[in-house]
Amino acid sequence: MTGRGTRTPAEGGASPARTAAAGGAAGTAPLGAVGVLAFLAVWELVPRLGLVPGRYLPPATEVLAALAARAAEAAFWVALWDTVLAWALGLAIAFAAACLLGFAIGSLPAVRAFTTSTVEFLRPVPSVALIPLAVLLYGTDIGSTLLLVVYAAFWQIYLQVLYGVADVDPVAEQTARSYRLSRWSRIRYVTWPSALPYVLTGLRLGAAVALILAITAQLVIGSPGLGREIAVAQSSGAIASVYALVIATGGLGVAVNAGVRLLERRLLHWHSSVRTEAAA
Amino acid sequence: MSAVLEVTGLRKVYEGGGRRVEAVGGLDFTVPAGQLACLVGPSGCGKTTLLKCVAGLMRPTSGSVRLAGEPVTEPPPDMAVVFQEYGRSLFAWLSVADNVALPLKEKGVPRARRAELVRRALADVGLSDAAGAHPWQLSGGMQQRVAIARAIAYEPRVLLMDEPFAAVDAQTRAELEDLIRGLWQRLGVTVLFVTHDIDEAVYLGQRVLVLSASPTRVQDDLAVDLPDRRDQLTTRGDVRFTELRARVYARVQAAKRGERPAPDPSAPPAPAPR
Repeated sequence: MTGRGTRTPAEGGASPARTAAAGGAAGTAPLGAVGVLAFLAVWELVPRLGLVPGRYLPPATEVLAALAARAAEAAFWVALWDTVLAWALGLAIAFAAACLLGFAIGSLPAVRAFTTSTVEFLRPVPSVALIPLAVLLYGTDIGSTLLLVVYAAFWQIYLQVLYGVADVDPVAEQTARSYRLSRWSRIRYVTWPSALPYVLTGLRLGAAVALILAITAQLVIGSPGLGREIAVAQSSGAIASVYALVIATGGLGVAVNAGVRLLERRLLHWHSSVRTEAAA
Repeated sequence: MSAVLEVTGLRKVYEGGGRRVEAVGGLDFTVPAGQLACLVGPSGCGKTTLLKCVAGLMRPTSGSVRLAGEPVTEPPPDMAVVFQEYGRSLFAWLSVADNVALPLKEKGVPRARRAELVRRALADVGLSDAAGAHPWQLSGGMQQRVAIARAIAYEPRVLLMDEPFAAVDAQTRAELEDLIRGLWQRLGVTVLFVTHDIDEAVYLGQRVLVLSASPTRVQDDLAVDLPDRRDQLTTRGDVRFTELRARVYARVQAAKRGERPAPDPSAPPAPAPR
């Protein structure tokens, strides 16, 4: 219990630790940076050489300057905050609902079979098809964004939770039963950790979809956030600003994905997809 | 000696998809308290089905299992099972110490006592240093030691072992066999040890029950009259060991050929061997 992470010499001389391909990311980073620079250079040249009219595609430097100008205004940060808020709140609601329902329904095979056809019907309904309904219910405030975000993210997470709950190792389950773990303890100590890799995959997919829907709702409905800023910039002919805001949403997407990946590495340090020799 | 484990007329029939498979067919045996009994039989003879019924993890079709007189209908509190697949039976997300402690926590053992039991169990299996490690950081043999530590920390009256050493290499297996003999002698626990390895059954057991091919019955029941102190070299070289081994081997071969134990007049005609 003391000495966390002690590694002991293996029997028979074989190394107990496992090595993972951890060196890959560091090796490709410089190449990736060069790639970005090359992309920016091409972007800069294409309008400057007149291949595409600057009216439709301003050069990269102009867009970056517009982004810097935007970042100096408080309105930009308010819009960014509104987007993050709608995204985070919607994702949190979808996550909580998907986990609760997924665990409840996933552990009752009869109920699961009973609901499958309904789920298969509701899941492919594109969230954007609910825009009129959202406007009807909530007008242009954050509520309509939330409705779309929750609907889209929920299915992503819910399905993964169902897979995860079904994927508990029967030997682990029998072990838990043989030691008389109660139903609740089995969920807490066996089902939940077994399902966690799926849950986090669902969270990663759901987080990306939630961001798409948050921006879409703001763009189409005009609820507050970066999406609405894009629509406003577009209607006032500020093309460089449109591109600048698109870059900002892209940056948000990258940050969201990196954040969930980090969470996965933290929570799944024991899982074969993550664990490394250094984890101890 | 009073019987701690009584198996009476145990039958298990699997039905499904229009097929009806009788895995265990009318099994009777008792294990007295403190005995180390080995169950050996040809592969696919329903050993695992039998063990699951004894462990209360599976309902038999008919017949009963009694532990200290009480019928087993769910996993009983004074029984622990060590599975063959240690890698799947241990919880990868918990440290070694937490794996051992979890059943005790569930049982309501107070914290201090729990810590003491965990410490002692890990010391008993020679893994005091590995308490904070995760199971997957250990070798296969060490992982199975963790599973054994978890079982003995639980302080069961009966320890069931389902081919626990089938997945480890020969040298590790010999070490683990001696570990089990040592723990059994020291703790006075009753052990029911299922294996397909004839040498292992004779080396470990005070008694070897040979099972027939499926549907399983007891084909032979012999006492192992080897000295209590056993070691890998001298015991396995003993003439008596060789005799017992040969006898068990012959019985297992007979079971494989489909020869049945003494016919039971009430039983239906034996189906063709599969």
